[in-house]
Amino acid sequence: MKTTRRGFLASGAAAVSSAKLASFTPAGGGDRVFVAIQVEGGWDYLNMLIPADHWVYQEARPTLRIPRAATLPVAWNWDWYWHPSLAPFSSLYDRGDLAIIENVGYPTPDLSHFESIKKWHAADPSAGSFRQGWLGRYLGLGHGGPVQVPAIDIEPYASPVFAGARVPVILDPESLRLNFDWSSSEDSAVGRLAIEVGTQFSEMATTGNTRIAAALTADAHRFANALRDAGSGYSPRTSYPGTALASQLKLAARYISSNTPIKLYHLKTSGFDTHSVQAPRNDPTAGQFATLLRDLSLAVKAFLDDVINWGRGSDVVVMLYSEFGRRVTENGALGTDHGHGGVAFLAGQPVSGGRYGQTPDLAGIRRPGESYYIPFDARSTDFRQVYATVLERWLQVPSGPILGGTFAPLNAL
Amino acid sequence: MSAGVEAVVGPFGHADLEPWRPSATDPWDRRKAAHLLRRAGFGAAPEEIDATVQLGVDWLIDVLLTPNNTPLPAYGIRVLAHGEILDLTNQVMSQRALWIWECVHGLYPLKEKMALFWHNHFSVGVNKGGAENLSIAHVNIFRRQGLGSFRDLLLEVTRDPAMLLWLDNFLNGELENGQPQINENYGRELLELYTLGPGNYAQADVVEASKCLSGWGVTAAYGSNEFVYRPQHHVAGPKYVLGRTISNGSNGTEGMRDVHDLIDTLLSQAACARFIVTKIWRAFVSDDAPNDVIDALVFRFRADGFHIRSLMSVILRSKFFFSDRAIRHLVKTPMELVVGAIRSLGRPSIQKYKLLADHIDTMGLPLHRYQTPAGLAGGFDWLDGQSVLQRANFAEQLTRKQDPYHIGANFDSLRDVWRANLRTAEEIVNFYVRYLVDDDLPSEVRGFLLEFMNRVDWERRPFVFDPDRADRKVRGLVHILMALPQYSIN
Repeated sequence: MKTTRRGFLASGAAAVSSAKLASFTPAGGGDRVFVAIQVEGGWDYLNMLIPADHWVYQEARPTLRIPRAATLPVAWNWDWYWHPSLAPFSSLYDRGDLAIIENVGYPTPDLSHFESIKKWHAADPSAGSFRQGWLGRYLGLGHGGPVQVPAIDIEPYASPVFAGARVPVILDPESLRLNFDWSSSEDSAVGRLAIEVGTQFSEMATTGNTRIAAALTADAHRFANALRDAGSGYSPRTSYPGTALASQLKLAARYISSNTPIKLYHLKTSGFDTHSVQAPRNDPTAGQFATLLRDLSLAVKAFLDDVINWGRGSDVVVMLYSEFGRRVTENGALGTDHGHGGVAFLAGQPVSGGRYGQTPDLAGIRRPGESYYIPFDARSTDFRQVYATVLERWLQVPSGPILGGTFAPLNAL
Repeated sequence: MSAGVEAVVGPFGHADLEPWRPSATDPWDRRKAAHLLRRAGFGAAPEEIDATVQLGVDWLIDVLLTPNNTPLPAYGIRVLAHGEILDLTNQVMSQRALWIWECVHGLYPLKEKMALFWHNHFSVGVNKGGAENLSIAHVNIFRRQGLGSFRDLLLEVTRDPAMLLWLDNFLNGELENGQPQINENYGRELLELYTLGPGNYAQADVVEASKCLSGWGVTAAYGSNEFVYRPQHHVAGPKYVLGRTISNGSNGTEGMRDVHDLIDTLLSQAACARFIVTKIWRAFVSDDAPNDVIDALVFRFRADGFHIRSLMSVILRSKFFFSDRAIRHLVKTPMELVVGAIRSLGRPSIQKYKLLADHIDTMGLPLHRYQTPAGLAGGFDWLDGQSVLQRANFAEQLTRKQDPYHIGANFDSLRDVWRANLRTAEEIVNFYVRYLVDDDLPSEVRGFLLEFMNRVDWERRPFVFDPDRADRKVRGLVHILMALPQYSIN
């Protein structure tokens, strides 16, 4: 059978190196892993970390304000408090595994979701025409190492944060199988070969958009071969909530637990664009936003516990970010419109838990009678400082070439 | 912009936009007919493509541009052509199935293509707050108005309950101490995503536009959702949008004029026509959108009163459209891939349409359930990893023999073999390479497919026609071809 198989290959595809089809062997563990979670929609910073007793907060949030009695304390000397649904974050914070980066943003903030997230993805507050994402630049500089898949994107669509590099988009490893239902298994093997080798030939032989499609398709097959079976023996070592984000994080945990040499993971969770009915009128601690926070924080904590239980807790750092925080003043529909200034988190055992950056001066930014924002000012932390922290202190690469400038890392790592 | 407007001369403003005429060296042929049918529709069966070559290019474009006005039904039992019955519930899955059925069987595919374009442009997710029963009425706007006036389309979408709920305009003007409070969600996206594009307005314009839109709501949110205008929720007084003053009374329905004036203000911006024309061009023609060609179309679109049908007529008849700068220059959307495959190869019974909807969803197109108001960029983003495997596995499902519950049960593998009298391996391979991928296949890969035909498993056993072997080999061949990157090119 071997000879005829070789004959088949030779007849059509002798030039294609079969090495290209070889699936990779996972390398040893111990490598550092970075997991970025984008919280899409613009989260309401002031109802996550709550200046409950502050008169400006109380004035700006007549219906959405959460009374201090319902909150959880962050630190004894701080008058901002956790939303009760962020109890999992509170417990991460208390064990020293969570850094709160207060008042994060960028100069000349943009109120558009799409423009703002573009700036975050590009690590460039002036991003007009988007070329590369900051994690794409990291990979483009070769920092991913000589492995087939240094990064994966666990979300429905490719994230621009990886623009400039070719990163597979995966939600379900089961779907990485090429299915065949022909009457003999050998014929299916011929079919698989015809598809994979035919694709690679097309990449070499054609031009224009067909060649681009062929290159993307060839990559998809390579990625699928590399990722289909890696970590297939994984099962969670903690209980996760039954949410979409939890499924995405379980997939990351599967590859991390099996020491698959993937350095970067990007995930996205949605629904935070809370223009209306963030909470019911009679209970500001309940409703839509409370559910979003509970689902988010439960999933992140479960993931960190899982990788700790798999013995990789000291290798994993998670970053949570959102395109902006919301307006200080609520909008009359039990919601909040787009704002400036937000919050970011770094989480995991390697993180030095605590608060970083400066708390916004609510009295100083108040604009009576206006719908107002947390401005980007001397009290703000540039989001590129957060990236510099991750790049310099965690991934241990120079951040200048990736961020296009020098930004002081925070001591959270 | 005004300089560009003055520079435009001639009825089409640019040589590339003049109507393409067949000639001896550049004839109306199978390749061009297939191109037009794929772009202005979802492709066609081989014999339909051949018939179209006989009928001529102008005839086909005229038919495509003048669809009927039949809406999709929102509820009840529908008896379809062929006597099949579709039980419509108000759930998204059956509504997706209905629309896909219409795309496969409908006589006016361009109407559906335009509707899909506008659906992606306005990008509503009806799952927000359980407004699923509104989705058919929502896409019927695009099916009715998608080739009409863009001004009317904007107005209809602005008062559409699905949109009013999706971007919260039903709460724009909620009273606080008797004063309407604005909600900027729809106002912002109307400027940024639906008309002008980023960078062409200021935050103050968002606020003022939102004031114009205040009071436009629904009768009972998430209940009986009908459009309603509530004067007491409308911000009175003049509004200043993009340098214009919008000033109407606020008695009764006088304040509604604000939205009409707002839409006229948006349309008066040069950025608006450019934004829309460029997006249409990239969806229907090419990712290559030369500035001077777009300039000429923008001029015409504005002069024509934002009439989409005239714009599409110029585009689809143009020299550019029938040139190699456009032919096979786009990536099939999941809808184009799935509906196109069905139209090319055989039509499953209606019970299978929910399965088709699942495939389209897993390839990345969430009909009726967009997650953000920005739509999907499409293009090569469709080929971003897992979705490539989904495309290949859809081909597997479509050509699979042994599963009566799946879509492949309706694939008649010998239909083309008998009809086109294909008897040798070469004839079969050449036929499907021509009709599925326009002969766009390297010779090595074609040779590889021939080898597939001439083998049984790994053993070389030259193809000799018999129906059983032809059935098996055609299924395998079509599966392989549809899983190759060339099939994803449109």
